[in-house]
Amino acid sequence: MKKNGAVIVVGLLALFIGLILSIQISTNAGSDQGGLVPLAKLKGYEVELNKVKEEKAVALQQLIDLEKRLTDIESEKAEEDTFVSGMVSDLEKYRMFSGVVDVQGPGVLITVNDPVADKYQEDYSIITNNFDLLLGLVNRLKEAGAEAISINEQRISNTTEISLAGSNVNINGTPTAPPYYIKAIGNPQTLDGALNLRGGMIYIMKAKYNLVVDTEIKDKILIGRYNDVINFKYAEPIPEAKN
Amino acid sequence: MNRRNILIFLLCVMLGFGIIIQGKATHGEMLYVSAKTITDYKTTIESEKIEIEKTENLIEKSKKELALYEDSSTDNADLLVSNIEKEKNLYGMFSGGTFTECSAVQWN
Repeated sequence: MKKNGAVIVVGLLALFIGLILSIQISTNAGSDQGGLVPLAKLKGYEVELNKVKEEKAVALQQLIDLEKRLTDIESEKAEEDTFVSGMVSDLEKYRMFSGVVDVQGPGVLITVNDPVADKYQEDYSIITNNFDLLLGLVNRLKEAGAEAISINEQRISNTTEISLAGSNVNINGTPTAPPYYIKAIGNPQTLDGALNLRGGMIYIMKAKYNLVVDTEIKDKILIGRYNDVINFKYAEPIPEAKN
Repeated sequence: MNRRNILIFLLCVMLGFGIIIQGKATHGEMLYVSAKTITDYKTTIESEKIEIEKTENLIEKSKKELALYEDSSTDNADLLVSNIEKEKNLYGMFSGGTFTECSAVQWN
């Protein structure tokens, strides 16, 4: 009887440990690795995303206000002095060409997304792992005369990189995820024609990689500015006399 | 008899503990989501945070320039002109519109 009692106690203890372990495993599995996830957790991500988007909008508005005040002061000075007026005009031209101002005009919007996959493939992103296709698209758009390009609101500038970093594609040092929205300002028909050639970039993306690619011609498209401080550590301008 | 009572008491405590944990671990309604969806959420949040940081850096830069322009104790006309010249060189270099020089590696 005493022996049986000990067996029952050990059995119940084992049951208890099993219960604790199963709870622990199910809690971890439902957090970051997909599977059955509590709805509250998903809503938490949505709330956090909305919060950071609002914070970004506030910061952007503050920046716009400050830059307007700076431009007003520069314009006032330019009106008084023709030398300054010429400098300000050059500065605006260089700013535009550097991509540090918002621009708008006719162009195309290209949407690139992964194919609809079955549940065994849904965790693998084809476009992320073949990010060089995005580089190819940008190159083809530039070749077709695009004056401004952005991918997921990241303006393509002279220093922009498009590189794989873990499970994301980094553009301007910022992680991005599919779907990719590529905006380009230029002659819409030329841009669209250059991309949709038979055997061209979009043909390859659809036929070889099975990606979902959609091109829309737009009368007016807005491309945001390059959003970072520009610093040169090594390069220096050469005075005009030396050019 | 005493030992048996202690064992029963301990078992009851553990069972109670287990039931409470089970109750606390209940998350309400569950939904099937792929790992990619969660990663994409995290990436987008991370991306927005980086954008906020970059914008704040630009705000700092603009504030410094504005303070420079509005500083009434100095001759702000000269400061303004020299700052426009500096900005013109910076954006000229960034856009590739001006000649630049630096120590570098050259491949032939």
